Amino acid sequence: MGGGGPINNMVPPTPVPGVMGDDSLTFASAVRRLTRSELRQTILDLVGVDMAAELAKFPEDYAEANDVFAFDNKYSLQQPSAALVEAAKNLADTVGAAVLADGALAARLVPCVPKGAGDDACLRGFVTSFGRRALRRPLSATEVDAYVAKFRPFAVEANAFNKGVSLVVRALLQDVEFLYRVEIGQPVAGTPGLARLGGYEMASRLSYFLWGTLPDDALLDAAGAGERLQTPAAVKQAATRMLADPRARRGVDRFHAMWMGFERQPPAPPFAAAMLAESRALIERVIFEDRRPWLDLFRATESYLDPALAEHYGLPRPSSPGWQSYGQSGRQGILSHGAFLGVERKHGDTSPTMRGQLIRTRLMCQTIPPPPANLGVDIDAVPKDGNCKSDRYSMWQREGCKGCHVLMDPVGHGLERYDRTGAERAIAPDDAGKAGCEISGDGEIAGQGTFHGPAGLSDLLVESKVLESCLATQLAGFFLGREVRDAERALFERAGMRFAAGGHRFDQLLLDFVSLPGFGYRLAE
Amino acid sequence: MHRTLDRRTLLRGAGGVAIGLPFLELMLPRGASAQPSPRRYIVCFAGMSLGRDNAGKLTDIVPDRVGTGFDLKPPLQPLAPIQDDVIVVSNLKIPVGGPGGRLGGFHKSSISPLLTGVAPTSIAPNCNGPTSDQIVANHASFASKTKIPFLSLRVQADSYRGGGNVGVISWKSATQKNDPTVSPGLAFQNVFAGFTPPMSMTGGGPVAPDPALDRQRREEASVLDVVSASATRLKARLGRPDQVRLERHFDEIRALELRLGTIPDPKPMPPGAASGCALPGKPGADPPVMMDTAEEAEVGYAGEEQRAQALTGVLAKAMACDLTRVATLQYTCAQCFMNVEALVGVKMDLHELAHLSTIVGGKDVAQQKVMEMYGWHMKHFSALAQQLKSTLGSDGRPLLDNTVMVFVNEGGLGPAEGKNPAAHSTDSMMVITAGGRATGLKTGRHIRAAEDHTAKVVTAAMNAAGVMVPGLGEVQGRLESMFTG
Repeated sequence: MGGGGPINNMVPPTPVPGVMGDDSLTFASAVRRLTRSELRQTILDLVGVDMAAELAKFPEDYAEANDVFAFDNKYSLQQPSAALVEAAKNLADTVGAAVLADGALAARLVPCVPKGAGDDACLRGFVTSFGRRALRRPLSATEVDAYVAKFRPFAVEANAFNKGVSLVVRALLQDVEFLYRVEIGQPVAGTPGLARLGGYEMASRLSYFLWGTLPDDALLDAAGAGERLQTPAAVKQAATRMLADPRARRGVDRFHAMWMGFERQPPAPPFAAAMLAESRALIERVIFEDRRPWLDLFRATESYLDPALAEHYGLPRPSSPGWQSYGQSGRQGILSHGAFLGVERKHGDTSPTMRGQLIRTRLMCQTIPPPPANLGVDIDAVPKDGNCKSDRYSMWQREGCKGCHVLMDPVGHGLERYDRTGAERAIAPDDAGKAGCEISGDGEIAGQGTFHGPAGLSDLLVESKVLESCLATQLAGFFLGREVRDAERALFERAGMRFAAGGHRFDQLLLDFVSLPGFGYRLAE
Repeated sequence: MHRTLDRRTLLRGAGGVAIGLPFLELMLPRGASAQPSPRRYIVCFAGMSLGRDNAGKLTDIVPDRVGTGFDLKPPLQPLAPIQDDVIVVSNLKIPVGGPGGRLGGFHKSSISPLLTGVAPTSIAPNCNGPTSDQIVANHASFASKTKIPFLSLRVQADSYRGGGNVGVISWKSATQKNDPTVSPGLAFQNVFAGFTPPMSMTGGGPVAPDPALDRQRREEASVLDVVSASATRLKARLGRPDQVRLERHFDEIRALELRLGTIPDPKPMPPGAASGCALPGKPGADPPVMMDTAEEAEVGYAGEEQRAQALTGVLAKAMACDLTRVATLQYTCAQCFMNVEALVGVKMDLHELAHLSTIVGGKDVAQQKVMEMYGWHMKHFSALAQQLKSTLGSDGRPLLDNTVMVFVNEGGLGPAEGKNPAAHSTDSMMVITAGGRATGLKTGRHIRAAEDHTAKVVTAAMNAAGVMVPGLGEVQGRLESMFTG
């Protein structure tokens, strides 16, 4: 599903030359465009301005709502168009204008104090340092000369050094190498299409995977000197440093928010900020602060709540934001967070089918066949008189439907006592006043067992041991910018097993990924 | 708003005195003589059907009378000022299956049949062939005639939670889409940057040189030159697959460079420009995209009312100045998740509006609100037509007479999925054209078709624009009655 790119020819599985074993697979990739979110963070880190409004003019990143791929970086959808190139030009021009208008901003970018508008050496110094960060590789002397020769006369004419700075910014921020992660590498002899990535290409791979933004100077330095990120040890060392940086928290938060759906479908006011803070706090506490097993995301017995949100959840109202026990409320872990429970809403309410589908596809990595192409799939929005909402969501019991729906609906029914804002309820809004429509809140993962509510579901998922390999598969999808292919699946599932055996440390899973033999290679597709 | 006399007003003249053509020439741009006006072609799209589930009624929207002097139901009332320029074609149908048919699952599977006449292969909203605007833009009578080959614009600022390609209605081919510009400010900039209104519009005298403007243009040219040179160097280093993937990006950089980077001489009037050619007002900052407008809203709104007005202005002037002759204007995305509260006063997205009860004051107003939303689309469609009508072309006639506008929407109304009527139906569809009086279309009428495919109306519209294709995609033939009777 979703849109296919102009090239869809899948390349055959190809191992890393000279590396034996099942994990020596290389990964097919095409050129990858920075997503809106990556561009926003990249420009914030590079220049220090927030371009959210200009990025809203870019083509959208996410796939179809019914595409199971969770992330915003599906490269088959990243087709160039006039609208894209014009939006990129507008973005670059807007940043350039901001630099020109704000002397202090420009001064932060320029590594020298210009002696006059036409200071050749200082402009050269700026092009060299800014160009290296923007294009994520050093510029050649010829390139530096070209920028200086082209733009210095304008600075002289305008009698303003920053005129030249601003024109350089405008040119670099619409450069194809800024907008895309271009990987060329060194061709591997004897294996057509396979290339060993260079140091700077490795640096960008690492930084967009772990941080969601451009490499910092230290990473670029590592890319250009010593082992040049060409050995597993050097890569691991760089990644270890990166994981200790606050940017890693942002990257890991964003991965989870996309995976669980609440980056794309954020919670609604008035609790939006509090709910996102709640989930972020748990993710960061488990992974970075306490370095606990990642499964504690699903087992946590307390949550970071502000007073209004605690009250909304029916918990005692604390005097100030902080960690609070769930007590005997039936809540447990991230599946009882408002951010997660608010994903996949339909008809102004929860949809047990869509929630069930979310859990099956995202958390359990199972494939649910799409409805037959010749079937209308929208259920009646309005319950018929006397029928309860649960009767409308009973496809799982109907012949012809239940083959697939039995996988989804009973899972969702187990969360039904929590509405789309994460609050508890006993009856669905459309059933108000009807007798016999009280929600049981009982659910079942067919083949795994029955459960009640988010705590029961979390325990069942943890017990079933599906989360580990699914997490690894989802992380792979994010890393690859596409769905994991059959030939690759076992490799990532093994990474999930190593993750489980090593105590479910998420940071170790990330390091495991960057240490895969194929991480340093690119198979052209 | 700019308003010039339209030809009919003039012909009726003061005291009903008929005025002959020589006088009309006085209205032409100075120095120009009457010459045939080029044809123009615009596809407009709405991501909605013709009524809501169970309660929709075709009689709420489809005229009762056929032929001339047909009645306008409330959703079509905005067409009143241009009724004589309009053809309403009702009782069209996109079949399920077969050539040009859709899939059984509704949402998005009607898009390819509607826009390309080609059956889809999946429920993705992708077009399975070139869309009619592209067929027209690439036809010999249109290609390379204007500064901008075609414009692709969208009013709905974001798909909200639709994602993928629900917001794309222009496709070069089954695999290449033309993303729309959603920002009115950016559309203005792209269309009019480097454009000087023709001499005749500045009072006939030479434009005084503007050193600041001149420097800006030289800067622009230098920036684009550097970007283009860098792209050329990169292209040579890329492997073949990435070269192919990025080819369009390189092409578009080059197009930008040619369009904006060349330092323009004072330009003669483009041959097809109309006397109403002038810069439109520069749109202000885009209204922000709000993903959530209120507690109950699941979806967003981004000032689509203002965006529609601004994009209409940009498009009408782009046509008047002959900067482009082909455009798509998508008002709303397929399966539209835009919050309609600001437009019709109920806090719901357009998709849900067609499927849910909406109780206001104890009464279910959902059908009424669906009709009001159709009316909202009509209001903007009519406004564009009116702007083209009030502008005279190079032949002295209203621009609209040589422009063919075709309005299509996602679905019809009929039995489907156990509901009757259902919004998920492509029975009883309606397509509305505006303009084309000088092209052979017999306008000012309601035609009740015999369950013909919507593509036959689109083919007729392309033919009227001078593109004599025998059909669209897998659907052969045109609706002949649009040219006769």
